[in-house]
Amino acid sequence: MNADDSGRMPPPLSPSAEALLVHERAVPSQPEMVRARALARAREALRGAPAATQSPRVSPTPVRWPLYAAAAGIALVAGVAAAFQIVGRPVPTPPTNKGMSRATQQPVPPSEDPVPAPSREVEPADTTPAAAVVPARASAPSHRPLVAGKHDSGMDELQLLGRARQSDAHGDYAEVLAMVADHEHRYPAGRLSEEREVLRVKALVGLGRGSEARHAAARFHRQFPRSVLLQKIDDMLASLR
Amino acid sequence: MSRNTIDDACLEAYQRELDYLMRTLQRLGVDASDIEDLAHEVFLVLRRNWDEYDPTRPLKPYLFGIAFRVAASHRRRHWREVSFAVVDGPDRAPYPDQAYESNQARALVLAALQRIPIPRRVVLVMHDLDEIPVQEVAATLAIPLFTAYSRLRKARQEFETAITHMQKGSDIR
Repeated sequence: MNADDSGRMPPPLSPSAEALLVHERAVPSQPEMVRARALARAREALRGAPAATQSPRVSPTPVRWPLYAAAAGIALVAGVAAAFQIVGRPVPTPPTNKGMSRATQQPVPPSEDPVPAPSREVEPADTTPAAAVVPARASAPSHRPLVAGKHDSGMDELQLLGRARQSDAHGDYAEVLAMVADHEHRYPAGRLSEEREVLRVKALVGLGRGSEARHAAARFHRQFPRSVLLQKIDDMLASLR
Repeated sequence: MSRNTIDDACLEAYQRELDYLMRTLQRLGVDASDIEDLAHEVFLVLRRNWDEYDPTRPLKPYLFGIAFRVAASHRRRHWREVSFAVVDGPDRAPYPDQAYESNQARALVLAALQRIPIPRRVVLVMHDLDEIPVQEVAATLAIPLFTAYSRLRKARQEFETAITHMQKGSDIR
């Protein structure tokens, strides 16, 4: 800060206000569950992004259509040429040859068809990634901007697991397992599946079903090898011993 | 840089600054029930613009700029009054290691911040809470330096007034 800036700096806060700010400057940690949920969601978005930007599922659209269009163009040219041949055959006089030579020059207009066709098809390929990678800021659903096709399930999914967590907090592990099963049935590849599996292990541990808990934990390790919740899972299993 | 590398770097930064980001959204007046959604929205914007971020510069001001714009956009879509019943309520996060007084102080600060109009609150939060130099605040918010100083001056006055009123108990519902 230069001297000119220090001259502009407004008077400092009073000591009492400053003392309050000191508390707020230290950013409190979010609950582990909230952090895990946010990170799982972020990872899910990253996993979903390639599907929109680089997935082979997208590329066939612009590739296939030009092929179809070219094939249609060729068929059309062949049809026109054949028509000219058929029309031309009964007349064995020199004008027939002129007609045929005209027919062989016909491909030019139809061959233009395939050109605009792919450019028309490029449009959805361009818009799809944009919609799936990052939500348009002005669009209403941008606060639930995950993978296309899943945007409706987010809140329901969250609420279902929220109820499961409440049951977990009350120690009603059987209810937790029922909700976990319900979640798995409704959202087999849900964005909160990582959190769901943690709840499953916790409930199984809570019910004393050790072997099933270990089995679920092993599956969790396989499914989410980089999860921040691995330690938590291991801690739960440790409590069984 | 490969796509995976960028993803990892972005995710790592998000993970590192998640607490800060969520607290910032709260300071900006975002309703508690919307914070996770908006934090995710910030992440998506961060990922989309990661190529533009200069890693030699601190991330927090950059993140704050995104959070501010996302929150402003959200506010335009879902404007509503923030009731003090929400602001003054106990923080959802457990703070076993924090004193009761500290939580009270935080709640008071958050409630006082809600009394300051957003354009000035942002400057106060960035400078007085996040300790970002005024020049950088001005650059992040794309406002003239003089305007930043002027807003900071006014915001501090409003903050003092709000604190005084609330400590007297006249404004706390």
